[in-house]
Amino acid sequence: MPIRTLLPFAASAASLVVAAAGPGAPEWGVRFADVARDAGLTVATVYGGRTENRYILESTGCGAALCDLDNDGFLDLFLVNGDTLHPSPGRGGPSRLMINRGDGTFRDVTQRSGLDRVGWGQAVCAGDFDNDGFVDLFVTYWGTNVLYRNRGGGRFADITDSAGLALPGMQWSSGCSFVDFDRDGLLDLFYAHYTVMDFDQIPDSESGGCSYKGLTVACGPNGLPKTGSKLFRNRGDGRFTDVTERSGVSGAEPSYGLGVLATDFDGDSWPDVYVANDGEPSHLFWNNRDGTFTEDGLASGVATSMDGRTQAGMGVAAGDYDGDGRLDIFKTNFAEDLPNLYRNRGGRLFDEVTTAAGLGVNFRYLGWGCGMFDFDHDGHPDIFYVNGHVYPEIDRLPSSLGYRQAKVLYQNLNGNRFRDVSRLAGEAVQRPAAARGAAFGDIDNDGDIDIVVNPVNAVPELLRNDAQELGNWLQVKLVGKRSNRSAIGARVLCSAGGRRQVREVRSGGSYYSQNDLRLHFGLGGAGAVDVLEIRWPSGQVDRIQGLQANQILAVEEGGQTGARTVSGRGR
Amino acid sequence: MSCMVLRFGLAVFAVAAQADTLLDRGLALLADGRPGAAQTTLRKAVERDPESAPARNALGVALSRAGRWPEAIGEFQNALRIAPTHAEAQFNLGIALAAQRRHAEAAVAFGAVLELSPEFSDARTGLAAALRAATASASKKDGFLHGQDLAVTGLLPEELADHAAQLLRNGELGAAHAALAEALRQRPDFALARFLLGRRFELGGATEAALREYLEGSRLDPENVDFVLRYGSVLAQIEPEEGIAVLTQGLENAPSGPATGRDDPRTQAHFALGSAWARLGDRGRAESHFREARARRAQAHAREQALVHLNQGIARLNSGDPREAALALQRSVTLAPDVPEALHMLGVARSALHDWSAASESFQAALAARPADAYILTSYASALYRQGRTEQAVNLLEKALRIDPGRSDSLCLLAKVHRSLGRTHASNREVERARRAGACNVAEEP
Repeated sequence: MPIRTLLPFAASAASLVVAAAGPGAPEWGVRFADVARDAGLTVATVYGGRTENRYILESTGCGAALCDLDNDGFLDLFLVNGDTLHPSPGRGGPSRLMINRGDGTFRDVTQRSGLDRVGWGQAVCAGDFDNDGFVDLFVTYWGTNVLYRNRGGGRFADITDSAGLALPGMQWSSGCSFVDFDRDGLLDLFYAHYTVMDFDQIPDSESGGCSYKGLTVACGPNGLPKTGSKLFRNRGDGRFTDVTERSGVSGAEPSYGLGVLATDFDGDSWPDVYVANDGEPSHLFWNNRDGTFTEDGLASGVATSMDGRTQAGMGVAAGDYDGDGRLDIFKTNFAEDLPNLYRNRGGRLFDEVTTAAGLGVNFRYLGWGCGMFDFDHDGHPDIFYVNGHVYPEIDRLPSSLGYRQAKVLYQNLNGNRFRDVSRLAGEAVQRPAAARGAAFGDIDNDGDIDIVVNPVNAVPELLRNDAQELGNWLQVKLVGKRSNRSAIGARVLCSAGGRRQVREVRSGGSYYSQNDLRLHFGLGGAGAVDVLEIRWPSGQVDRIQGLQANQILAVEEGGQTGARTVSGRGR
Repeated sequence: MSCMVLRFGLAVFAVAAQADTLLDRGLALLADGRPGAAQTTLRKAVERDPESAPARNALGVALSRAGRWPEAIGEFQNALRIAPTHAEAQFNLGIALAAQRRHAEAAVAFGAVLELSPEFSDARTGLAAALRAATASASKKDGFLHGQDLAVTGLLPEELADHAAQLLRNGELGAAHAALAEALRQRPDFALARFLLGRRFELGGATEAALREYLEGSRLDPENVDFVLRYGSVLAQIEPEEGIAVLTQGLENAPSGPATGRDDPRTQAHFALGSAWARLGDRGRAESHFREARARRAQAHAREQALVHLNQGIARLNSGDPREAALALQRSVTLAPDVPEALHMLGVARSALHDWSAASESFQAALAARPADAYILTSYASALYRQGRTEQAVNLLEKALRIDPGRSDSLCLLAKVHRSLGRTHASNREVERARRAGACNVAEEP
């Protein structure tokens, strides 16, 4: 007679309210802690309405920049700020500059910095456009964009007018990037436009008849005017020339542009530009190497989902997730859709591998800022993105996701598949926020990648990577001589432990944000780098051999190399 | 639920055929309702033979009885590691997970039981309950569904597919799989379940398995454009030419009318086909599809823009600004000349501006697009009446009232027209009818 042992069913009839955490997964060494308050980030970013938005203008939010603006070796923080319509406009104040003291805290120096523009701030991108050794900032607005020249000492000058970048009327510019598209050693400027925001032409949520899941919400972008991206060429005399027409950028289909990422996708040493469009096919501008671009996102396979659906592209990141030396694309999208991972297969063609790579498990989030960084130093770039709904009204539905949403973190397992480790990486990752911008960089110079998140109508988050048992690492700060001084567009190949990794210095990216201009390599167990090869935008190639791991290395084009020894946490 | 408890309660029994073994003694103690003593004995049994799946399963039951669910789950998992086909341990794992409110995982466990033992009816009941609970949790999160009925009964294939779709949206792939497996067990030719199972595999990164299910779903329901496009797109990543053939079929199945929005399947098919041809290096065919897709997107965009202007025009009318309203509505009509609402509202705006002739033109155009609309007929009649074309107005109003006999504004206007023609009796009759349908002041201007 068989022994049969069954449990009664009674216990399972207990409360059905809360779904427990998923099955016990293997642990992950990386933990993020939100240290914003301790670091001195206490002022909320202002953007649009808290409980309802009457116009789409109130939904896009702001970016953030992590870059060393005072040349002290520590990343400073620039937080774009917005505005309100109701109850009255003008409640936002200027964007904030927080100088990193190097002790884990930041000092707000906005007031004396000259960064005094107020209004509907959108994106920020960084680059030393005048090659004077100080990183400058470009900030896009609904209104007039602003070019801030870094005068040193934490002081900036608004030179938008003299630079020829003040366009007439109220433009709604979005993602931006400094890019030396003609490789003349001067950083040019590319930025996208979202739509035309004219209160006389766009009905508000009450009169517009626009709804989402039965809720009355702000209208757009569907049905609103589409626009195009802009490209300005740096003349080298402090002025820029609009070459949008001449370069062929204006030849792209008008769209609703948001995130912008400039990088060399086809490995020809000429920067290309990807624009994540909202609800329309995304654009990929291939650099023709003659001062012009050809937009060919559709044929390249990066404009829509695999099955031809247009998606609501928001943020965009690039990284070589599969280690084949080619930069792949990650893009965030609207709720109830997946993000995209486009694998670069060469020949200006990409495959969408989102689900095949294991990124098919988070369907509900509405994604914004994103990055492909090696958080655990195993040599494979991981993926992190922040979320938050566009409609504050969504909170009226009994939804646990709601307006504020958790972040998502995928661990790259082997250069082939990803694992969702959001629940293993600390409470700060799971804590919901109405996030928009996200910038990535090493704020404490301990070797690993930290994250700043700029939400709407909340205090920014500073997610410090508190991993303990990480592999080794190397960071490289490049200084251009013949190339632009920020070395934007430089490509670095790092050979260590039998593997070769590729990184590129980029301006802009994520959603409306600027990441650390220093390049970060996770080296796993390799205690040294065999060869570091730097391909500068000028064409110069420098090779450095036998580098110790766990240092921040400064490399000048064609010349000096200096290491900044830090108390790294590599093993 | 109490009925279920009783059934399962009776199902717990032990046979002490070999009472001299620790396992049997433990089982006997369990059967006697002494879980504490059973636990002690069964731990010894496990110590003596750590690879005994029955002993670990029994220990799990004893721990469950003591409310030590996490440990119990560990023992059931240990039992399954040793004997993956141990259906009872799998079932008990489902129960324990459900007790811990891990309903999606419980559904997976019950689904696994049914794969091992399709006639295990208690597992089917458990699966239904776990799915309901998992979906209720997920629904509560998303707010799309409310008040799930938690009665423990079996689910029909359609219900299982609904649950699975919700679970897929919430990333609960395992539970969705269990639901779909059960739906397909009940009805193997259920196309939607096949398609969703394909989606489940695709989301989980199992492309080959996804293709198999998509193929089957497309075979079962070849007219379903969504199925065919998804199948063709995934296939095109692996076998471009075969994928193109499937996508072409999808394009042929897609409705050929005007593009209505960003979800237009025909536009989607063109985009997907263009990409597939580009991957094959055929730029000519790729561009041809992209051109079609872009043209349809432009068509849809024009309609979307027209809708914005229409709404803006209505808002302006409501705020008493007919001049601005007419401008917005004219923009709407220019972008989408065949939308009757915009033409009608443009007529209304022009009427408010006393431009009766232009208003009549708009109403005529609106009626050309929608001839049997009582509202438009009445608006047009009003404009004609103001131009002194009373007989035509009467004809239109009578037509409107044949379509909508109780329409008060039509009745009221007809009464006024009759009165203006000196037809007192007819006027009074219509006034009376209008009063019954709603307020009507004949003295007011129409």
